[in-house]
Amino acid sequence: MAGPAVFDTANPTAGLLDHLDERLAKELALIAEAKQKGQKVIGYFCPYLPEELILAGGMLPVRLAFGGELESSVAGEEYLKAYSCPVSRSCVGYQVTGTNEYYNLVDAFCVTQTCENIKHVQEYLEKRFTKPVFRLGLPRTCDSTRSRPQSIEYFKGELQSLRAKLGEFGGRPIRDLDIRRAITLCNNIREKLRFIYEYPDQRHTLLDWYDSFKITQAGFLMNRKDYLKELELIERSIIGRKPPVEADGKVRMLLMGSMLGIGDHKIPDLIKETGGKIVTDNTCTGISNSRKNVTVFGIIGDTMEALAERYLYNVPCPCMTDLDRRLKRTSMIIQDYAVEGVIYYNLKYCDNWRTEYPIFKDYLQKELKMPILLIESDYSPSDVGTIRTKIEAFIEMIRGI
Amino acid sequence: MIVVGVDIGSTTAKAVVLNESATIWSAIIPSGNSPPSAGKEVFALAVKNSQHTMEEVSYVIATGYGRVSAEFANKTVTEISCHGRGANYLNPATRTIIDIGGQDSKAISLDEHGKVIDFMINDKCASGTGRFLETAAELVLRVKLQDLGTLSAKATDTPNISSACTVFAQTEMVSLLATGVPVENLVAGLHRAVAARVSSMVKRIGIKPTVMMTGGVAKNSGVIAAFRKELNIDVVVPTNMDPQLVGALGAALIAQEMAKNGGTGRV
Repeated sequence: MAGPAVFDTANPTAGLLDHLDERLAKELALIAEAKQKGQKVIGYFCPYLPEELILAGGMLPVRLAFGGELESSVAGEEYLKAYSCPVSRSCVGYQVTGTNEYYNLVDAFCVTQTCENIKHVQEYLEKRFTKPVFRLGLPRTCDSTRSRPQSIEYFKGELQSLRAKLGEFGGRPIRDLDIRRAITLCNNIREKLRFIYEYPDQRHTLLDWYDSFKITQAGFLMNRKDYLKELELIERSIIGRKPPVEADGKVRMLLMGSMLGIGDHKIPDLIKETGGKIVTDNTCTGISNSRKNVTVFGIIGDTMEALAERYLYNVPCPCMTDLDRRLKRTSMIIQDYAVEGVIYYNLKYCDNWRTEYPIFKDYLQKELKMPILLIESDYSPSDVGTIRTKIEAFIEMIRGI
Repeated sequence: MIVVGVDIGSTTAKAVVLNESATIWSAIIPSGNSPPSAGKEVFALAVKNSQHTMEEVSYVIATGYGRVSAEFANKTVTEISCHGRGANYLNPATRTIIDIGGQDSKAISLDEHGKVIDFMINDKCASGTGRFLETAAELVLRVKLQDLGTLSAKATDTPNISSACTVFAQTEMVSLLATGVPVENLVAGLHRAVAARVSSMVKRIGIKPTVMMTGGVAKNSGVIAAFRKELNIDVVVPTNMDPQLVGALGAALIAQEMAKNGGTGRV
């Protein structure tokens, strides 16, 4: 059955990311240029932070979700303890080494108060590296909108104060109209991402997760308007393409857990090498970023409340008390994507994820009969051999050798 | 036609040869400083012991941490699946396996069909492994590794060795020796320390009887006794086979299945 032969059917996604890659390669130069013209660059780490506020203030948001680099995580030990998580050590470490060009372009940081480690990062950025830092407070109790209206109130208040500080830093107050425009832009990005991730359906996606993940993370760095154009380009070129019909025999994995930063390939690569494939993720750097739009009701709708609602309830972070919702969501993801096994990635000393593991394990094994494997690791390559054995054994277990 | 399972561990390389009537031949040699050549060597030795020739070998599976470099193997399978298969063959009632090798320890949970349903591998450090016992016996206590079992049976008391770290545990033992604690008692303490370390891992996957212990350390009766006490459950060792060979046996059994399936298998 021959369709219009516009692309390689054996490899239907070949070349699809080329344009995006080329554009991303220019990003640092473009940011530097924008800085020259007076535009401010705001670095942030965590997806609880609505980047709409940065965009509305006419500034450039850069999400500094980098990972996987041993050098910076070791450099961070100069200030943070060696048993802080590698993410937080790297955040400080990049300041020490000066090797991350994106960090070097940042004018001010926004830091969300999620866990103990990030609190210390913020203190060092401010006190030792004398960078302007804007804090965003986060309620830990967010069980549901209805049962905790005070959480939304608090978060809204924090967002309002961040808005004021960002406005001051950017040199002009942030107007509601600008926030609405930024919300539209970010919602468009979220919709395109969801479309690309799930096209044509969650169980037979055209793009493999590795490509989708790369596309998502490009959006942490790239000028958001240009990024939307890139997403539109990808969207246009995938419509009509079909994923390979034959099953590839690989074990379908959900990767969940600690932050999987830009550059942290160790676990995804090992899964691929050992005969598995990640079909979706539940991490704070993956598909969760495209979850749910910000909904402002009409022209009188409260933009700040809409942001608070969207951002408080859609990040898979164990610093929150919403464990039940996260368990349920994990089970939904497992069903939607026909997952056969769960890899629970715990960055060493990420205490929140590690502590919740036995609960997730119990829930998945008993309620869903779903195999789950804990992988504890950091940015050092020393454990590759053992992790490979663990994942291989896990795959053998699922296939039933 | 024969099939072979080769288990290339950190300390020893093991091979098991199986024929159609399930007769078993084996070989064990030290891994030395070259696991790839140890694997080849032990493979050839086991085949030689079986009085068969290399040409009669129809399928080879390599396992153990050196499996990646076993070019002679048709396929590699992890230690977890191999120990599971081997233990199930030797005693179909086995539901929990404690495997302590030279450099790591594992806990494996099997269902009633002998299928692996959960596992854990200790990857923290050498504590609770064969290497830990070896260095403590030979460098600190100045006794032979194979004498540890009989020595601990003579213990009058079991001193607490609290450190989980191999290096610190040795320091602790040195100071206990200095205070006049007899060697037998220290050996018993050492066994309890190993059993306690590994038991916490076994408890996480759940302990269901029958519990079988495999790997080189299972040859030490003192450790088995310490596990029985620690877990408060009977722990068995393979009766008609060297516990060190269970992984290689499992590999050979899987090889047999693969050979029957025309080498395609499910793996």
